[in-house]
Amino acid sequence: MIIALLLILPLFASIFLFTGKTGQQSKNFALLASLTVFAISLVGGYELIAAPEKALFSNVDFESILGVNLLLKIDVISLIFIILTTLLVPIIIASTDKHEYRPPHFYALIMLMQTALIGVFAASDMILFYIFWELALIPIFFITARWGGKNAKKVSIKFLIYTVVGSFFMLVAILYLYTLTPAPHSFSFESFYQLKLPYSAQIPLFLAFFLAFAIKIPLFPFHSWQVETYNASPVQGSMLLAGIMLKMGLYGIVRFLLQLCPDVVANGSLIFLPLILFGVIYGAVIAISQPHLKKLIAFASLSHVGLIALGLLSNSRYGIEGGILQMFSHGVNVVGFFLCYYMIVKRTKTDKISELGGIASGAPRFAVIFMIIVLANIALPLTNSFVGEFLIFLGLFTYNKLLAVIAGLTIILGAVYMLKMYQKIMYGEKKPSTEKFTDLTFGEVLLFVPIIIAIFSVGIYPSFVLQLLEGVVK
Amino acid sequence: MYAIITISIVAIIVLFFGSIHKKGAILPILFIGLPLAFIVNLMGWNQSIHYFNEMYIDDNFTIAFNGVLIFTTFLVFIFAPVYYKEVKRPLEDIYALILFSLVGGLMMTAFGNLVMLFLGIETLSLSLYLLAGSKKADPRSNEAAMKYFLTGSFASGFLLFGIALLYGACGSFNLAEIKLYVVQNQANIPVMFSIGFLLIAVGLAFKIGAAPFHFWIPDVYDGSPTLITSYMATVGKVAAFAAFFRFINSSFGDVDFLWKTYLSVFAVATILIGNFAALYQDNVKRMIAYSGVAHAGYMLIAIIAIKGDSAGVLLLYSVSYSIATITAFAVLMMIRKETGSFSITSFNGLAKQNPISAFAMTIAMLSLAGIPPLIGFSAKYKLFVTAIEQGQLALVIIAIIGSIISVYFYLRPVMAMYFTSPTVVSNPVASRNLYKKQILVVTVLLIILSFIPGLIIHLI
Repeated sequence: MIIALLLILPLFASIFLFTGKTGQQSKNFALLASLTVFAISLVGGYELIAAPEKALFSNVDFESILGVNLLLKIDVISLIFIILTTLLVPIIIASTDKHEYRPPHFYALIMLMQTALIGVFAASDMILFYIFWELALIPIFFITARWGGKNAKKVSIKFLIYTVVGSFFMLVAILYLYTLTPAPHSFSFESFYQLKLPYSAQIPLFLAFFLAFAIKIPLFPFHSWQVETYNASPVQGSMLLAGIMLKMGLYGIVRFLLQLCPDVVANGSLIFLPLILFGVIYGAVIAISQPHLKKLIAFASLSHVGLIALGLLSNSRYGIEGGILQMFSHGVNVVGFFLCYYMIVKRTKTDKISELGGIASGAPRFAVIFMIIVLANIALPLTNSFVGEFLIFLGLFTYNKLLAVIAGLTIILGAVYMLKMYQKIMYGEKKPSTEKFTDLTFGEVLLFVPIIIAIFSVGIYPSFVLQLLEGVVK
Repeated sequence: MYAIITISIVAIIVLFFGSIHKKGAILPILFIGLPLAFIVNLMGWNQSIHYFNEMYIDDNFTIAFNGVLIFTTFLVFIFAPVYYKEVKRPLEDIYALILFSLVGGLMMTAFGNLVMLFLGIETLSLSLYLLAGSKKADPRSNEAAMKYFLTGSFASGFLLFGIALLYGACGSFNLAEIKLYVVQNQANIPVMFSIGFLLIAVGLAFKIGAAPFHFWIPDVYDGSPTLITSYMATVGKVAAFAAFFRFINSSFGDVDFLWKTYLSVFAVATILIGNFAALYQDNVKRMIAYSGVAHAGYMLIAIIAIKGDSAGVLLLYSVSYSIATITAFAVLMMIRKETGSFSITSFNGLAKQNPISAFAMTIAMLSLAGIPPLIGFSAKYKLFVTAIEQGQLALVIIAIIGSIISVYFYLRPVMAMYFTSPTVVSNPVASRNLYKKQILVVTVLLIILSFIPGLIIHLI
C-alpha cells in the first residue's frame, strides 16, 4: 500500500502538472505533492523499523497485462535511498527562485524523476528495475537540455548516449541471468540471488554490470560526461544528478555486484580498485585548481563517490556499511553544497572563485551555513560524512593497507580544496560582484534546515542507521 | 476469410460511389466497412477453419495478425481526409487500391499453400506499385513507383522460381506436406530444395526490406506520398513478416539447419546496415525508412528464435512498430504541409509552436528506440528474452548494439523540436492544427498500448 502510494502519487502529480492546469501555482503544487510523498515515506520507514525483518512488500502479478511483474520490496537499504530521494526532492523544488520563472512541466519532470528514482530503489524485479532505471534518464535529459546553460544540448545528448550504452550492457547481463534461473524463468531478485554462479560466469557478468554502474556513478575513466553535465545543467538538475541519480549506480553495486558476483569482488578487486582510487585522487587534485565553483563541486563529488565505491567493493562489512551510510550523507551534502552555490550565483551572477570574496562580513547567516556544509564535505567529526568515511577507511584498511593509505590522501586534499575555496569566497577583500551581497532570507534559511538536521543527526547518532544496516549487511 | 470478402465488397462499393461522383459517401463507407471487417475477422477466433484444401488457414495466428493489419489500415485512413484535403476528385481509386492491397496482406498471413502466398504477395505489391506513383504530377513519386515496380517484380520472380524448385523437390505446394518431406528426408535434402528455399527467402527478404535487399526502401518510401508510405511501411511489412514466419514455422518445424544460418546473416546485416545508414540521414522520412530496415532485422530475430506456435512476440513487435511508425509519419505529414520539407531542420522549434505534435513525435521516437516504459521497450525486451532462451545470445548482442546506435538518430528530431529555435517560417496557424485530433488519437493509442503489452503477447 505504502509502496504503491510512493510510486503513484508523484506520477499522478507529474501527469497533472504536465496538463498545465496548475499555472502559476505549479511550484506550490509540486512542493505540496513532494512533501506528502516525504511524509508517506516516513510512515513507511516507521513501519519498517518497527519490524525490520519484515520488508514492505507488494507483489501484483500483472505479467499478463503489463508484461512485467510488479514486484516491489522495500528493505532497509531501499528505505535509506527512498528517504534520501523524498527528502531531497522537496528541497530541490523549493530551491527554484521566484524571480526565475519555471513552467509547469519543469516541475512535472522533477516529479516524474522522483517516480522513477523511487521505482529504482523499490523494485525487486530486474526488468522493473531496468524500466525505472531508464525512465529516470528521460526527465533529467529534458531538464538539462531545455533549461541548461550554454552547450547544454550537446552535453545532454552525450550524457544520454553514454548512460544508455552502459545500461544496454546491463540489459544483456540481466537477460543472460534470466536464462540461468531455473524454469519457469523469473526476473525477481530472489531467484537471481539463489543462483550460485561459478567464477568464470561471474566475470563477464561483473564487467557488464560494472560498466553500467561505473558510467552512472561515474567512476574513473567513465566520468567525462559528469563535469560537463553538472556544469551545463540548471542547478536543480545538478542536484538531482549528484544528489540522487548517482546513487542509483552505487545502489546497483550493493544490490547486484556484491550479491551476484561475490567471488569476483573478493578476488579481483586488486585489479579495479586501484583504478577507482586513481579517480578519487584525480578528482581531488583537479578540484584544488578549479577556477569555477560549480566545476569544483563536480570534481569533489567525483572524488567522494569514488571513495564510496571503494568502500563498497572493499569486501568487508565495515566498508559496505560505511559506503551505504556515506551514500546518504553524500546526497545530502552535495545538495547542500549546490544550494550554497545557487545562493551565491543568484546574488553575484558569477561562479568564478577569483571574482568572489569577502561575503562573510555582509552575510553572517550564510557564512555559518556554508561553513557547516563545507565541514560536512570534509568529513569533520560530528558531521555525517565522518562516520561513513571512517568506516570506509576501516574497511579498506582491513582489505589492503597500501590502498587505504593512498586513499587517506583524499582527506588532506579534500580539506585543501574545500577550505581554500571557502577562504577565497567568504573572506578577504570584497570584490565588485560581492559588494551588495545580501544575507539569506528566512525562506532560504529554511531550505538549509533539513540538510543541517540530516548532517548533524547522522553525525552525532549514526548507530541508529548502522544497527539497522547490520541486519542486512552480512 | 470473411474479412477478405467484406473488405473486397467495401472496396467495390467505394469504387462504385466514386464512379457516380458521390465524394461525401466514400469516407463514411470506409469508416464503417473497416471496423466491420475487423469484427468479422474476430468471429473466427479459436475455430481454426481451413478453406480450399488447406490453401487458406484461418487460425488464431491469422486472425491476430489480420486484426493488426485491418486496424493499422484504419489508422492510416483517419489521416486520409486531411492529407487529401485539397484534392477535389473523389479519390476512390486510391482508397480502393489500399483496400485491395490489404486483401493481399490478409491472404499472406493465412496461406497454407505456396501458391496462396504468391497470390497474396502479388495482390499486395501490385496495388502498392500503383499507390507509390499515385502523386502523378510529382516526378519523385513516379520514380518511386518505377523503382518499386522493377525491383519488386524481380523479387517476385525469385520467389516464384523458388516455389517451383521447392515443388520439384517435394512434389507439393502445401506447407504441411513440405514439412512432412523435410522431416522424413532431413538427412539427404536435395540441392534443388536448398536453392529453392534460398530463392524464396530472398524474395521474402526483399518484401520485408531486409539487407542486402533493402536498397529500394529509402527511395520508394521517400518518393511515395507520405500517407502511402505510412501504409507501406506498416501493413506491407507486417504482412510480409507474418508470411515469412508462417513459411518458416510451418514448413520446417524443428529442422532448422536448413534456414537458420541464412536468416541469421540477413538479420545481422539488416540491423547493422539499417542503423548505421539511418545515422547519416538529414531527411527524416528517409531516416524512418532506414529505421524500418533496422526493425526488420529485429523482427527477423523473432522469426529465428520463435519455436512452435508462440508468435506473440512477433505480434507485439509488429504492433509496437506499426503504431510508432504511423505516429511518426503523421507528424511528418503535418511538418511537410507546414514547411514543405522533410528535412530535420524543419522540425526546429516545433515544441513551442505545436507541443502536441512534438510530444507525439518524441513518444514515437523513444518507443522506436526502445526506451522504457513505452511499448517499443516491451517488444524489444520480450524479443530478446525469447532469443536468449533459444541460445541466440550473439544475435541479441548485435541487436542491442544496433539499439544503442539507434538512440542517437531517434533523438535528433527530438533535439531539434525542443532545443532549437525555429528556422523555417511556417504557414499560418490554420495548417498547424490540421492533424491535431488524429495525432492525438494515435499518441493516446500508443500510450495505452504501452501499458498492455502482456495482453498482446499472450493473445497467440
